[in-house]
Amino acid sequence: MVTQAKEHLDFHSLGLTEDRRVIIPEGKSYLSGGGLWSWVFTLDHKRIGVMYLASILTFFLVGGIFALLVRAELYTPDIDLISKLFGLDAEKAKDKYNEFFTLHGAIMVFLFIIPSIPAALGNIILPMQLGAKDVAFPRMNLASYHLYVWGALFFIGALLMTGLDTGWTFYAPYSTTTVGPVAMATLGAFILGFSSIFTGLNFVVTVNTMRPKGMTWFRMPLFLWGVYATAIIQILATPVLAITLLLLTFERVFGLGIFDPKLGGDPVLYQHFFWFYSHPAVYIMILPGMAIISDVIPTFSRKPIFGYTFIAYSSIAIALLGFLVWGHHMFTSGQSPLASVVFSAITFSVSIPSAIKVFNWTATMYKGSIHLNTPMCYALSFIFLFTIGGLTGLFLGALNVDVHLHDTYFVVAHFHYVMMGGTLIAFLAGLHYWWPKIFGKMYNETWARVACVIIFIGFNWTFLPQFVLGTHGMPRRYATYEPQFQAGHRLSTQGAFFLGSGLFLAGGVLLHSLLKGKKAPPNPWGAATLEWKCCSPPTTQNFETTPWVGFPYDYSDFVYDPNEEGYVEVLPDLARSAKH
Amino acid sequence: MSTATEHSHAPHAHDEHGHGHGEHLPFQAHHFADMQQQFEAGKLGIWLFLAQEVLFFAGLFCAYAVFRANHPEVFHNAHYHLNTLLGAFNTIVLLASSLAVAWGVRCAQLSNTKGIIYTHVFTLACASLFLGIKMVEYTHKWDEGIFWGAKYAYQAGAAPGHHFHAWLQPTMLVTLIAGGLLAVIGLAKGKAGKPVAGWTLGAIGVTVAAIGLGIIIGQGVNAATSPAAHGAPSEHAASEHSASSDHAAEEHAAADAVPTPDQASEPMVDRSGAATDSVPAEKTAGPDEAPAMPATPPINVTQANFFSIYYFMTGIHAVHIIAGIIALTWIVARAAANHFNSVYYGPVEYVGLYWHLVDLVWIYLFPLLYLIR
Repeated sequence: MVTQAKEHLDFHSLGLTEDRRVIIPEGKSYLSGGGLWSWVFTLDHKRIGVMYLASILTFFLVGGIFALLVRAELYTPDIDLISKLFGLDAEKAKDKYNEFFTLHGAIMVFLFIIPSIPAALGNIILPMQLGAKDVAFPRMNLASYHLYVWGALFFIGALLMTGLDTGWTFYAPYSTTTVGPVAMATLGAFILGFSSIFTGLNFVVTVNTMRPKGMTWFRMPLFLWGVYATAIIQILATPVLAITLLLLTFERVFGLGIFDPKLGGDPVLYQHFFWFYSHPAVYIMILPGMAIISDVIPTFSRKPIFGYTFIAYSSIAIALLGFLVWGHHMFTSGQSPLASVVFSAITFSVSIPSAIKVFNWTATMYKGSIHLNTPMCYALSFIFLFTIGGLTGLFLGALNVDVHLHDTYFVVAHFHYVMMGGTLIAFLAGLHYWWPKIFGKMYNETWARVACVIIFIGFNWTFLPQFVLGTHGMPRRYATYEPQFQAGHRLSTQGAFFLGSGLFLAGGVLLHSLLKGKKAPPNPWGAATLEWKCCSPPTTQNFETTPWVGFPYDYSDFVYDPNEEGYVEVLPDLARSAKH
Repeated sequence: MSTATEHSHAPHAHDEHGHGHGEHLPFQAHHFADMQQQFEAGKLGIWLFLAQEVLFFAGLFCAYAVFRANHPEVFHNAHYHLNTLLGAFNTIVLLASSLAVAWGVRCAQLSNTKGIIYTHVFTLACASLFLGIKMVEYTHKWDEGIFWGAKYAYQAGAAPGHHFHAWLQPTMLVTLIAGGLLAVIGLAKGKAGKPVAGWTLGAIGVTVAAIGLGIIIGQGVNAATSPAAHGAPSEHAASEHSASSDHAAEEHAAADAVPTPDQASEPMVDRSGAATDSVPAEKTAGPDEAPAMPATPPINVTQANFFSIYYFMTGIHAVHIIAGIIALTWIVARAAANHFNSVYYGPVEYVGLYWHLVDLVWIYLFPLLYLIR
């Protein structure tokens, strides 16, 4: 898209009024028109993104129900709820419990968190932040979504067949010998991997080749930097998972013997392969979350982001370092002590770029004009929860402490603080931030904020006790436990249901806005990135007039207009100021 | 894959797209400003796809390295079962095909449509020759019971347990006849003024027939080299290294591929040496002693493991060849429809790059699997 320097503005072609306000013309919404078919085979990145959004939220619900079942079972030390609910004896009920946490983990990781921000929100927002009409390869984008659906169907198949009890990690040799439908689930994950690769590939190419004139690398919104770093990981790490799961499937079906020690295979090799993907995958989850926060905080602080280049580089640093730390999942696997020391040291070094981000977000808010809109509330929760999640990661990265904490609830609490407190909260921040843009409707700000507070309290209520449980030695993945752990488990279960009610409230508020919400202005928050320079919801082509590209965090030109209940861009009269 | 890197028929290509940029060329997608941007996007896309492919194979090369580093003798002995001459022939075939593909890209840049078609049909023939020869290699090994992992049942000097190679003759005949027939129909269609159908059918015909040709060549080379290159070193290996893995393989086979408990505990190729002794010690270790690292259980790597890796690597590579065949045929069809010229030749180059990668993987596989000694 053509960019024009502010000095050479052609008022009429850009739709400027006499008082230099940028007028954003209304157009036909991309959401309207066309039947089912026009959605299923659409090449419009926004429609694909909306389909992704609907799908991942459905699976979030499914995964969440399994989580609540697991938590409800853990309310008492004995296995009683599941055995009563399904009429099973204690041993069978324990197997059922194993299935539940496996499905909770696998669905949440593969079907919700990994595609949540890049594939759903990224798909909608990334081309618009570039001022582009679409991603570089729209058909590949559609293929990515269709692969996601196929992968999800395999998972549903495994769910219906029952008996998948390996945990989401599919560790060999248990996964090659257990009776459950492991091959089905791993094939599902294999297909989902290609969906993820296609998305990542598309994003890298789009950012590299389709940036508008005037948007240099260091004038890109930080959301793009984060998603770009994520995409690099998606392209380079996911194929290793693909080949690993393929080997595992062949091992199981044809008796290949790469991982099964009975056949001369090496099970630790499986762990290396698995974590070579799955640790970077943690950064696939958190980097786009950080990217959203980096866009939300300056907008609601009405202040340019502090330390732009540091945040940009720290995303790339996290992506690269993320490839070199997988061994910290294997400190107790018998890998060489030297390797453990190196992995531990690099793990600590990941905290540097992460901390850079946190400090810069905090510094951005300093002396800013903070507006506590819902996205900002979520962003503040994110900073708080991610900091706890990140710092407890250092405990686990320390060799000797990890031996004590390995496979305890401390680990469970830690990664929920990062994945749920981090990624999910950031996803909710992004969802509330871009909701007016995506669907053209404003939600009820009060109730959305109430939901955010409930989620924040419920989250800590659920997972803080688990840190204590873990340090006291409560192992993860057990259906029953010693009575001394009951107080902690009770708190955690109560918190989980409180948290669940908050999530339902947030979902209800958003659904309500679709039906009864006020029409959204083009720029309700006064953000300076390009996606706010088209109408809400956008047209199929995104931009009816070519937006011009400024620094994405310069808010000086955005003025609140009470008539529009949103912000309008008023261009400074540079020609006049130059004369002075 | 590469087919998705190009989207000439985007449905809203005729929407209200013209925001300042000029006429869209026939194969320019609506969201690109110009052909240059489209070409660069496609090229970066295919390079990233290839990076992804490299990482995909990297897992296998890594498994290979781990197993070979830990058990060099197993790999050394096992590789005598492979026919180096067939491997070398296939290497030459793939190198020739890569040259042809590169030539085809140059033809596209020079708007030489006939050149694109000829080079790509030649490449297709090479791809099928490769697969035909691989079929011969696979079937002869299966006949000797050389399978992978749990299915491995090789016994030195035993009579063939299977007769998979009996399928080679009919396959050869069917592919030659069917391929020839398709090529003739293609020729007739071409003469009748339907170049797209003609060249597509012709290309498919050549592809199918080349499988038969590959089987003939493979069988011939196999028969000529069998006693020299295959049988003798195998015996030599068995005599020289009978104590280690061949022995294990035979026992393995004798037990019908299910190792008995005592066999599994026999430290034949025990990687951890004395580690077995430390298992009880670790269990009784007191809290103030340094926690002993859990002992690695004895893992008996046999030739079966080499062939697990061999079949998986060459099998995945063959899948890539088949994907390449589909992509190359698509290029032939589009070239016959006169789609490519010096302005628009992206897909030819993308498929070519993919084909080079498939070739390159084999360039690594050949020495790693066939030339271990």
